[in-house]
Amino acid sequence: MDPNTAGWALVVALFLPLLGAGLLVLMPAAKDALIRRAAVVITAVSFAVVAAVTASFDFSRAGELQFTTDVAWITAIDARFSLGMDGISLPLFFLTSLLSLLCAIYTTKYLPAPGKPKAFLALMLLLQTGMAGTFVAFDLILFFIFFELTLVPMFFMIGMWGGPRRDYASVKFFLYTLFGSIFMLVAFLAIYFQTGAETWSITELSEMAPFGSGTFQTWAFLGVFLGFAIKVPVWPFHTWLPDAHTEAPTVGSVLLAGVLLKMGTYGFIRIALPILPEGAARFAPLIGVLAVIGIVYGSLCCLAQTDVKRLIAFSSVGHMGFVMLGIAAMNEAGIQAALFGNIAHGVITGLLFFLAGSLHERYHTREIAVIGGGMLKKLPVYGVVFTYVAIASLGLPGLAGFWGEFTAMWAAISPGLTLGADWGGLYLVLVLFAAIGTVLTAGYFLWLLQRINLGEPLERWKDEKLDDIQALEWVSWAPLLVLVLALGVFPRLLFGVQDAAVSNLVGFLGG
Amino acid sequence: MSLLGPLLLATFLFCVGVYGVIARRNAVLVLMSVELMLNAVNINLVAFQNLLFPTDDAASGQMFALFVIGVAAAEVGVGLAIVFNMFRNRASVDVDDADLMRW
Amino acid sequence: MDALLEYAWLVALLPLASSAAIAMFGKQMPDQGSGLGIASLALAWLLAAGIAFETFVNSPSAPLERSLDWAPLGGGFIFELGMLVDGLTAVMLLLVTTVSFMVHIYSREYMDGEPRFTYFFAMLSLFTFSMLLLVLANNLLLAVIGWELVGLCSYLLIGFYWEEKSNQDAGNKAFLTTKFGDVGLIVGVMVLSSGMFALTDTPFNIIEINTAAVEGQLATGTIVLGMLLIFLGCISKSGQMPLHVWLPDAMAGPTPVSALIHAATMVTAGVFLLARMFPTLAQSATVMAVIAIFGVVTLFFGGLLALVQDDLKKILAYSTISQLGYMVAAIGVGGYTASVFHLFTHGFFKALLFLAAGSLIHAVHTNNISEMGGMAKAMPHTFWTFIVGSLALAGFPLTAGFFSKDEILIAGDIWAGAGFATGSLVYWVGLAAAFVTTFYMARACFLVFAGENRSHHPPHESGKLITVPLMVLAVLSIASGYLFSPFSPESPNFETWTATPLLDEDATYPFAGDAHAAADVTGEGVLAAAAPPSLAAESADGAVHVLHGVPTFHGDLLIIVLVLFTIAVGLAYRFYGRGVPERDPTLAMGPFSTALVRKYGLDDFGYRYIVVPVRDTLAGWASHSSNQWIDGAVAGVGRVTKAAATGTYRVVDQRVIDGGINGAAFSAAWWSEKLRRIQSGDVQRYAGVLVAGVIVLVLAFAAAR
Repeated sequence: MDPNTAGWALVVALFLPLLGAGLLVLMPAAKDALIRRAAVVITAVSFAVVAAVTASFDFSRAGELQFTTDVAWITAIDARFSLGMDGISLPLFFLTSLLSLLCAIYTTKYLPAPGKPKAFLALMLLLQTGMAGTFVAFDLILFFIFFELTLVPMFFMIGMWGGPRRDYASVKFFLYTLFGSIFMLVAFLAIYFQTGAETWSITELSEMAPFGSGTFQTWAFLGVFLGFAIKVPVWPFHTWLPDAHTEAPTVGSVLLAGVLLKMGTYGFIRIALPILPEGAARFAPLIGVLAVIGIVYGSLCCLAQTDVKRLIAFSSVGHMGFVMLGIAAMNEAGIQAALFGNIAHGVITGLLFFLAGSLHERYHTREIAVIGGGMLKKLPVYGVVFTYVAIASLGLPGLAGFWGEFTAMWAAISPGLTLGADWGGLYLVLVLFAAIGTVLTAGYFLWLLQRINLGEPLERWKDEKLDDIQALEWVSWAPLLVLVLALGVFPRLLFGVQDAAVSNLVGFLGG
Repeated sequence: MSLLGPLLLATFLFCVGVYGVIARRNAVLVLMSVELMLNAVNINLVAFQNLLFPTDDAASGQMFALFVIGVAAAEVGVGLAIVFNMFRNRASVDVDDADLMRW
Repeated sequence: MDALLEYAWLVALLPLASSAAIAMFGKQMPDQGSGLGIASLALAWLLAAGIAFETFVNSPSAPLERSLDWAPLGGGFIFELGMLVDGLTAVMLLLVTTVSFMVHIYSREYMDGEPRFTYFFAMLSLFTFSMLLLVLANNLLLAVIGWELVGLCSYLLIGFYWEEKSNQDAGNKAFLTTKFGDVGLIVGVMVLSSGMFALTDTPFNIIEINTAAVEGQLATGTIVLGMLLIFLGCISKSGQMPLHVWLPDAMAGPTPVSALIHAATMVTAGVFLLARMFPTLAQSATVMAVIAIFGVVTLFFGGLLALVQDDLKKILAYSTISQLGYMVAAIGVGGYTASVFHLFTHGFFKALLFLAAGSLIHAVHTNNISEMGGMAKAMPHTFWTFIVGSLALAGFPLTAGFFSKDEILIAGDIWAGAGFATGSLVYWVGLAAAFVTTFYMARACFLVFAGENRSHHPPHESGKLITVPLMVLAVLSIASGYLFSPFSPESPNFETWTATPLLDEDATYPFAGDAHAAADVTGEGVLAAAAPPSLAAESADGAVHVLHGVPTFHGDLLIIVLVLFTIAVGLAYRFYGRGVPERDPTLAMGPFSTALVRKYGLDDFGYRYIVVPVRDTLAGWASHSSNQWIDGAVAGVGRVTKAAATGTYRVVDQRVIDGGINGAAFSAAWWSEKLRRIQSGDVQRYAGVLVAGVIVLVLAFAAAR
């Protein structure tokens, strides 16, 4: 495939899951096993296409858009069907496809009540198209549609296959994120009318920036900020996250943490920063402060949790705080860090949610006190894997979590534009607190490990027969386990791919 | 010639007719009063024809009068038929009894 | 032979490879992977020895730096995967591989039959690799990576017996305390690197940072802030007060691990990093003063804590803290060579002491010295090696510890001569602490080896795999001191070995200028005075030199140290020579003893005022506020919206709008009810009304006309 002309490949990769969802709907619901296998085949084929796209991606020109499609779409409002992919999009697009495949594989065996794999998998495939589309859409309207498209399947996934408080959690998730999106849409419209160029193209708007008065930049950025900040989520907009994660089915949590949250940070990087650079510069210190509060606060909340899954959900708040800190730095290293943190968090936290799901499959509870330790005795392999992932999540060098955190702090110590001169002291304090956040992160993970992994198993589990990791779980986890190590040892895998694109992007900031 | 005579006659006839229509209770008499009113109109038609278009060979006024007489005859025919039916159903030709149209 | 340096990376890679191989295939190997670990360490040791020899004979040698551009970090800055091989690196490589090699051999017997034997060896190798990575790193970021990996391995090994809660706690404590220090390290590294942005695209490169600092291209503020923050990392990692609290607890790990942690890998990392960054930190009097003060406090108060311990390993742990204090203090008073030298010799004799202690513990199944006694006869090899180690630790003349510790005191004296008060402090407190050290080591030796056996197990000598490493280390505990003693040649010796182009004989301290150009800047050492020829010759230029030259020997002062030694040992013999006293005099010193037993209250303080508030109070508050306040606000918005919606529906929609529609309909009905009365069905009345109307109209028209 020629990355310059093969726009169709991206379209195929993007809409194959949607087509698959349609196919699944046509299949008779009674053929349970067949449906599950079909979903694996569909996601596998789409992953193969994505892999082929990745393989033929021209990494020497990773800063430019490749596999572009740009055709008129809704002419009445100048919206175009504009797809493309650069070094920033590629890793996220790849991750989306990979996680979907792994989730489909996992679902061949594990699906919570009420079953109905047909509906579940069709929704998941629809979700996949929405998520993947967000990362390759280069038209604001198209972006917005993909961005919102993810809400519906996720709403049903939580609402139907979720835990006991699923109704509350799903409605809250849906409404809260939609609430933010509305402001974002208004800001998009404001941008459209402000330029007067009758275009929604992200690249063209970035090149035109900065436009409008300071007031315009401030308000437009505020709107976009609300939309993305809720999605990320930035403290204090995070409260939908623990509920949604705790109630969502395993696969839902994995995709939610693995991809959906990334759409928020991606939006900041792709849209908010380059199109509204002045607004971004004005908000950067605030974003930094919120990010660091999120880091410390999220970690503290983790310490207080009694439910493993809720703890992991709160850990996301802290980790996304590091991503936001990188964005607040407004320089190349910061954006690099944010993107790296994005992927690393997707892989690691995705894994953690898989593990939490399996924990529930075995113990039928996620309460730390009820599990009560001794997992290394009871489920030795599982215990080791859990330790490995937890340690990755606390940001140990050599594993994926480190690079996002370290680089974000490093970038924030000398923020871009004139932020260093204006707010240097603040940023230094932010970095210090973020670093203290890493201690708290280590604290809650070690404490978690101590309480469920170490020691002797409780009396109630002594005679219970619990299966260690099953073959199917290995299949769906192994790629992520490998990625965690690979990204940690070879940060170039991401930093290298993103470098040129990030450099272009920071060019729009005027920094 | 003066129109006064025919007009006065027509007015008198019309007023008698109106009175008959409004005041009489017997349906046959009401029909007859209607005939009076029509004939008052006929007088007026003929009189104004002579006054306004004396040279008109077509004599539209007179023609109208003839039509009115014809229509009146038909009307009386239909009216009497209704009155007969009314009498058959109710054994009365009093218009006060024919109040099916009230609220 | 120069080509050997090019392969220094192999020294680190071998343990990593063996660690990975053991972790994956160890269970299938005939000796459960231990053989592979030992073999890889043997190879690594050979290589390290070759590198050490190479750098030693060619000293002072230019550092060899090799690096790969490993990843772009954005902004054009690059993270290098690189190695820096100079004398300092070689010293550390030799120390780490030697101790680790011995520990590997020793563990094969010591850990025999333990559960997770294979895992233990994999971790041991990984631990070694991490430390070697730190040592070899040519940039601070890579060093941080090694540093953190060291922390992880220590966590995994200290909590090796994770069935026990106390061991889990010890592991957590070690990791979290050092992680807290890492906040300083990481931010410090970032601060330093940010000063380098304008100068280079490899802002973490150690040589470049040191050069920039020496050449004055780094702002003083950057250096002070950066180095103080990095020193915070060293405080926690190298067990300086008040963050030393994890170190005694770390004794929960298996004894070979303690030996590795205390001698070669973990705790030396901090001192090593200070030595590595010495050219930078030597630019600031403030930084050096702070370092010296922390060192002095630690070397004295840390040592005192050992007085009241009955656990043999804890005595050694506190002695480590004290000795680390010496090393750090030495850095703070310009004793670069002295510090590294003490690090080097201490590594051997402390490893020896721990391994010998392990041998004892292995024999009698207890750590408690009051339950030992009379071990000299049963375990002769362990006995005499332990004694050699104790003598070295106490600084008995002509042992390695004697030479290296004296170097530190001399450095303090020279520093004092240059007009810095911290110098005198190091000198006098160091001397006092040496007395304390001698006393508690003598106490331990008497209680363990003299008198009758009080244990419940008949002691027996350990096997060859244990005693041979002890003997090797015992020899090194004596011999290593002669690398830098009055017997050393002018070159090469330890000082020329660890010297670098930035720290050669011309190097001076920028802040110790003319003001302190006292003529008496001659190291009037007490024990082994150094009257550095270079210093004496060049003091005319009014600067204090980093390198002090080969020490000289003063017989009269030798007598003083012997007297001190004799008093301490004599006191110990009087109290402990005939077994455990009724009332241990170290515990009979009133509030002083209480303070020591309670470890100055630092552990309690940390638990009560840091751990509990953060873990329980603050975390609880955060979670509560998240659930109640923030989520409450969100839910509140939801409720208000819902209420507004209900209100809109009930009032606006149902009353006003729908009310209007319905009202129109109802009024139509009402009116029609009234108006239909007109429809009487009486045709004549209609006609009457019609006529009346016509009359009215006609009259109206008439009137209008």
